[in-house]
Amino acid sequence: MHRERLAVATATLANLAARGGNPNEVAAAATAIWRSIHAELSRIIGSRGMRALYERSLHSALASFPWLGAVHGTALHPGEFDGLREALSRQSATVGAAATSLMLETFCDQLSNLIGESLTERLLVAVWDHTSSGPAV
Amino acid sequence: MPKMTIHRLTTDIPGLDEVLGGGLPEYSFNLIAGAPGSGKTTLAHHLMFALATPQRPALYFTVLGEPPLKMLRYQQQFAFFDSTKVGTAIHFINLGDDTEVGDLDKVLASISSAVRHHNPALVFIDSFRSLILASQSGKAFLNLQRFIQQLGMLMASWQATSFLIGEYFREGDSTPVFTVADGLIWLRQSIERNSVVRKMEVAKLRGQATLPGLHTFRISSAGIHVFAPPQIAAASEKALDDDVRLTMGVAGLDEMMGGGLPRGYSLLIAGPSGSGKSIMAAAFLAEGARQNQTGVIAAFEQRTNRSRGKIIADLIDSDRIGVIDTRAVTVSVDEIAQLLIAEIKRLKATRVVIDSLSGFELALAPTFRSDFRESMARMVAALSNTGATLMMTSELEDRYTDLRFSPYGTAFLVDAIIVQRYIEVDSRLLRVMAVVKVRRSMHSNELRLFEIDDDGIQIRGMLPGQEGLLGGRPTRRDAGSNHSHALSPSVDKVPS
Repeated sequence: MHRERLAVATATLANLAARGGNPNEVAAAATAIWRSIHAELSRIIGSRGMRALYERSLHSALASFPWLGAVHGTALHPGEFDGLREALSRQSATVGAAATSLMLETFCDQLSNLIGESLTERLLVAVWDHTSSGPAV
Repeated sequence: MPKMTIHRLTTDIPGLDEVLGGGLPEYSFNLIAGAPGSGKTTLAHHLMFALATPQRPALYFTVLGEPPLKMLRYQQQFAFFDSTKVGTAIHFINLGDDTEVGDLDKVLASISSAVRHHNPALVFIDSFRSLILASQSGKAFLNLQRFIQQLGMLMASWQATSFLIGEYFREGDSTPVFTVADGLIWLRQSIERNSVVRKMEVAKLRGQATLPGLHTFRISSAGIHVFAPPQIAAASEKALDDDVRLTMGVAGLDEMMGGGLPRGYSLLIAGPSGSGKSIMAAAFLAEGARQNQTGVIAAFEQRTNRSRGKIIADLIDSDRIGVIDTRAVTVSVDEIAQLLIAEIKRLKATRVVIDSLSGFELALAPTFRSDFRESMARMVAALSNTGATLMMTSELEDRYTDLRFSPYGTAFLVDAIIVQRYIEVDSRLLRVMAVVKVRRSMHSNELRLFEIDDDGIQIRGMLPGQEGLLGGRPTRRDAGSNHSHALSPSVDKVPS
């Protein structure tokens, strides 16, 4: 079920871009999702665990979106996504939304590989509750 | 005014409540200690998943040490891990960032704030070692002793039952935690020769009588299983009921035993390899089934159920006879006793067979072999307490110079003994058997020939006029000095 909610969240970003939203809006929406994930997960798996997963997602997305390379190592504090936000706002809204979707999917896949789908769903349920601006699923 | 009684939490972890002396005292401050790999985190998780409910939630604080992601990954492999409880009844909280800077004040503040927020009934801190290390890193304003005291107070005032999990404690340590803790559970791995056995000791539990000593436990996919020694009620003598006797399923044997085996007795069948002990055990179980009684067999010989004969195999298939699967090596006597008693209760079994004690001893982990006699005594008493009648077989090395019944000195433990021997007569190897002992009962003193054919054991007559049978090579005696074959009373003391 969290896969559907992840899909809703990425679709919302894509819609925002398609409706002619500007790159800053997409970047703001994307970092809001990451902040929410950080808030939920770092309490449970620690900020180091959270950062490891996030950086791995970032790294995986580099192949498709090389400009994400600029984000690496920019976070000074746990839960800070200013570097990502800046990089996203420099791309078109469509490209920013696509890159964010890919990162989020990779992140969820990794988490699910480690702790299983059902626990991933339990841990992320609050994230989707907070960030879902689309229709309730 | 009534005195305050401490409510005890029933953990439902097999054997643990017994070892704890009736469950975990509510609001107690406990320590789970042991070396890495001894099962501390698993015990903590099993306890937590067993006890936590949305009304009685649990907080599990992770402190550096094992990364929480890995912990969640591996603990999920256990059947007790119910992921629907996560986020409702169970909340995992990582304290890594606070301990990293070594500030115990901050750690305590984080714990307090989470406790205030969730109002938990159960709190786990894993692992405590990290806290000790953090406190040694120098920046601590609060020393460890004060931290522990304040933590203990916090838990008690919030009425939480709490657990500190630590791999850093050694028995000689004078860690202040030992003094403050209400309960102290040690987990150990005992290594002897090529076997490793997990053992648990409840070294301290305020306010209640725990079962002293080291108790074997296993970690399986189901989680923790503690094998507490079987409890023997004081009135175990009552279980012996001489009036009711069980038929043996071998023609003529009941008469030799003075009318069958008294109910609740334990019988040892001793004999050399191939003499027919297992066949006699199978006949005993089949006879029970014929009378609609159920049985349990703990078989330690590496044989399939089929090789016990079709009757027994069918009875096992139809669950009229329960089998204790002892494929697992390195068992303890207490473990087998507990499995047997559970199976006896499940099937309401009246006949129990252990085939054989020799195989049993081989299956034991080396660390338990030195206590074999003591543990056997406990097990035989506990089994007889269930009211079931016990038959054990024992491999007897053929010795023709003395009369032995069991290599372990178990003979004194049992109420009845049948011995089987090979003898040489006219260049043939013949089998003889005799009833050596039936406690508080008359029995035959005859040494009878017997054969094994397709129908099982056939008891024949004596070898009149022969003597020295037990020496293996009888000699013909002069006629005219036959002994009487009357029933004779058993003496309680027999050579063993």
